[in-house]
Amino acid sequence: MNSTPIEFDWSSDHTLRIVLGSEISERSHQRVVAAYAALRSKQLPGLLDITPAYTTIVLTFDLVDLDVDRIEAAVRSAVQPFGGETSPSETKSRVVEIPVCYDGDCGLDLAEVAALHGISPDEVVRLHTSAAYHVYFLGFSPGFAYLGGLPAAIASPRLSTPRIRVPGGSVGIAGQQTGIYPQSTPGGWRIIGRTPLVMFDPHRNPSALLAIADRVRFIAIDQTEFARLSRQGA
Amino acid sequence: MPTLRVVQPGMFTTVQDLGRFGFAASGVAPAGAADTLSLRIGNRIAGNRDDAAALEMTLVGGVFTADDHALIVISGASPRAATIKNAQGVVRAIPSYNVVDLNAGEELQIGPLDTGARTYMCVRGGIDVQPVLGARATHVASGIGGFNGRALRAGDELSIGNPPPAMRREADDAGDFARRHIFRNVLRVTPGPHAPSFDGDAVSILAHATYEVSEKSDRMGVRLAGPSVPTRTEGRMITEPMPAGAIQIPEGGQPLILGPDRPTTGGYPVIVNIIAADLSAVGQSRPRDQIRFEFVTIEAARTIWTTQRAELDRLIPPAEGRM
Repeated sequence: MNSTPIEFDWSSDHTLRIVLGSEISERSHQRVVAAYAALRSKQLPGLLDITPAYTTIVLTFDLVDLDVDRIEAAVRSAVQPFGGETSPSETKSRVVEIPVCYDGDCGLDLAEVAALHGISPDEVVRLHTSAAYHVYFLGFSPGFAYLGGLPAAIASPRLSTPRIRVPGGSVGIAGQQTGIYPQSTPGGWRIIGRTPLVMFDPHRNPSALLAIADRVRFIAIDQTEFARLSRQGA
Repeated sequence: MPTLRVVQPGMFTTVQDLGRFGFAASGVAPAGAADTLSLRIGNRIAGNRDDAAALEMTLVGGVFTADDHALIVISGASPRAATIKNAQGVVRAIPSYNVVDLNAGEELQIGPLDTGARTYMCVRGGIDVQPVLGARATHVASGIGGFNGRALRAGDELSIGNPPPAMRREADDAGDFARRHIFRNVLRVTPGPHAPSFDGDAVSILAHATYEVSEKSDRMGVRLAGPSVPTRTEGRMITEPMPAGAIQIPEGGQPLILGPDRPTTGGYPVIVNIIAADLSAVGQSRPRDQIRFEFVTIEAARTIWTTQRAELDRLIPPAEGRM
């Protein structure tokens, strides 16, 4: 297994970019998760934010009294343990079950996705709910989780014409990715279901339902259960 | 405390402060003033801390009244006309960068902006909306913060906060500071992190060309029209976090300068990054502006920032207890 040395550099005068891998993989992800945890515990001076992604972590700093040498030394010592051949020991992750209604209006494109693959809608649901997913990171918009683990058998292209409005909680597929639209937004993903869970609420703590490294499973529910859980404000 | 009432909101007016930090790992953009320098200046004149919330008006200002005496400071782009009309209908012009009395029953009108894109109405005491995730900045796309997570509409009423402990101050030559540091069309940039996505020609094109600010620009990003910048990777790469001022080259090769409301991560390569000291200049760019880039080192960029901040503090010191 190749070992990509961990590099970091200033991607701007106020952001430090750490590279922990060269491709999307479980190994890169584990390094990001471990380095992210280590950096958060470091209390770097002037740190405004830490943003993890597939293979990189970006640290954002206030330029007031920026102590470059101290920051670089602290970052080096925090991430160096994860630069070797051996994978960092897997951090304990939460398992989050997400109830999804695939029936009727919740699964706007379910029939199309099934037809695309020459299988039944039930089979699409079975494949989607049988997989074990993990959260690579949250990004793009509040509460949006980039999930890994979609079975190749249901990978499907985006809509050629995006919808003007995708209901919040919609579960979609785009290429090899699957994810949940936390808010109602325009969107081009193929929607196969909808969750009654509130994926992001800025007045809740934590505001995002999912976090980096979470393991995720989708559980099929019917429309009655969907309505009940929606009323609960889950 | 007084209540500010929106009679006419203007083209696009939101409550902004210095932004929301610490939640990028949840996908939350910082938002905040597109021109933080002007926000700081206006707040300091009013005796506020730098991070007090103000109204950010875009291209065309609005009309406002207050139900009790309020102290207002206008900063940022100078409106063609900024006036207060009293109860008798007498209109007086109000200068930028000065504390102005807005008495109960009077009407404050901020007209269109001739140059620059954003004007700030700072109020002594700050705009007192409930902070969300630690800040009063508005992120309209996700409905987070500010006044109900949206742009202001006619009839909206905003509370003004308690007067701060610091005195109101004066800033001599704020206009001169603004001309040199904020209203500039040569933007300094440092090299971006995705060098393998670009060849020498790409960088050379960016270094020598003049780009025009497109009308399709907003708080998410400033779109530039001009010579196409070629990429080696057909315009995509592994999604990664995007700093403020990152200049992405999407499909089509037209540069996009990422703004305060940007998605926190992106999949297009970044060729250069605007220096922190010039982010306010980006926030004041308006459609048809002609932009050029000047390349500097990271070290030089930090020196420019430190010098600029020192000059700002000499122009007008921050209120005590600033963040």
